[in-house]
Amino acid sequence: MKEWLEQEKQKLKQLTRKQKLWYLWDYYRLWIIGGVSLLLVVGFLIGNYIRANRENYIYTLYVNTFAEIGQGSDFWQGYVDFCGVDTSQENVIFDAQNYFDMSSGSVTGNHYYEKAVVLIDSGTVDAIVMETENLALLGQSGRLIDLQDDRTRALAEQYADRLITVTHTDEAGNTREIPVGIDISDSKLVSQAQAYEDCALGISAGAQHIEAVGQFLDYILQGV
Amino acid sequence: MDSVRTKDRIVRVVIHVILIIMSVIMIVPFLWMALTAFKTVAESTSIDPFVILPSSWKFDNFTTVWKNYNFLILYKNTLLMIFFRVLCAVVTATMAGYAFGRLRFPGKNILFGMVLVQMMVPPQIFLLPQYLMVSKLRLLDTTFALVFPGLVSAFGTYLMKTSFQSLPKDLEEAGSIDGCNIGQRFLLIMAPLTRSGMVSLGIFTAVFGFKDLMWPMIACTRSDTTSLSAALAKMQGQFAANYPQLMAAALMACIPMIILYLIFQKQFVEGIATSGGKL
Repeated sequence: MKEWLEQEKQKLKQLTRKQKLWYLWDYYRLWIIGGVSLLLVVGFLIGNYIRANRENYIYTLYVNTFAEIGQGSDFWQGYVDFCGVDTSQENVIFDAQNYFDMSSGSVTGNHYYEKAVVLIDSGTVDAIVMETENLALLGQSGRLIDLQDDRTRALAEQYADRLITVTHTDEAGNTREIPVGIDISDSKLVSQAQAYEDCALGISAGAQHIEAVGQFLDYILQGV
Repeated sequence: MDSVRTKDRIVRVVIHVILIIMSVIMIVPFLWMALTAFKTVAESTSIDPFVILPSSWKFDNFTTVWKNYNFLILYKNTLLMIFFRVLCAVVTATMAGYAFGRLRFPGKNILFGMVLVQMMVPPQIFLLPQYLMVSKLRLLDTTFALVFPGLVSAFGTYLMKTSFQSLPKDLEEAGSIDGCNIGQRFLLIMAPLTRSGMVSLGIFTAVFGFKDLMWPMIACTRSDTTSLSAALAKMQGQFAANYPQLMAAALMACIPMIILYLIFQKQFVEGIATSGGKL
């Protein structure tokens, strides 16, 4: 390696600047292109990392609503103002374009359902709002938190009269009712936005922002 | 002799009629999309089968969609995604294909078996780990996130392996005798000879990238970072009752692929013929 470097140095010494450039381009073209590409890729990754470096405040998934309640809507802005979130620092995500029906029995292959599953299983989604029956069926799949869990017990107690339960039978044949959702059908904000006729909120089993979900419930059930 | 000619002619006519019918069946959905894009909502939902052409050609649908969704950004995102996916898939699959097709190393068959397994399992299996990787890197909602699943290609590796295997050994041996090292043999002798395989792979990757809906929907939820296919899916929800606008958006979304097809028409056909794949 050292010998080769010395040889190349000697060769370059004898050449003019223009000849040096041509020599390098002729013999090391692929290395130069590779090196520059690598630098560009690394720069691109760092740039993306810096730009996207924001935490989520809450990620709420709305299923089967045709109302405009996604990011930038009045509904979204109301929540941002209610919680006083600085959206330049944290993301408040209201993902309102998801359409699937658990009762149809053919959700497998539905892209929106598969997307929801990935987001729930990865712990990205905090709350899910959908029709009550639909939510109960999603709860049966084990993707929603048992509201009697330590993390959400306070919410279950606060909204005890609104709990939506599913029946679970264990291996021994014992059955018990598990609360998986909170009925929010009478929310004035939901009615105003014409988002749903009846709906409930479930909390993802891997939710990371339960406090923000509590605030969302306070926000959506204001004046009820 | 005459009866043979007449029979030939009849067979040819029948074949042509069948082909014409098939072509019409293939082209009707596209025509329906194009014509609906210029109709009013009432016309588009009319059940009168004779309302084929719009009463007046409305371009408002295009301008409304163009205004509501920044199509320039969507085009840019989609083209960048396709470009980088094609580049990465061709580079990595060519190198892997050469290794599996021409080199001998311990564990080669096991490793190639692992590549094949990726082609045998449903793609949904990879969604969660891929999402977690991009999420942990904090690269969601970026162009990199769109490109990520296309960085390597199991199908491409298999395709390039067969391309390299079809080349005669003598070429590589001649290179070795002339003093080429392994890198030079790959770059200067073997890789240029698999150009048609690379083009096929590039075309497949571009088309699959363009059609990819699932991944952009998950990894890039923001309207300024997502791809055309995912943005169209969103429009389907928002314009549920407005077919003309939806069709106008779909027609505009088709443009890059139509241009790509017109430029690489020959390679598209060759790619399908040589690889036996379908787009």
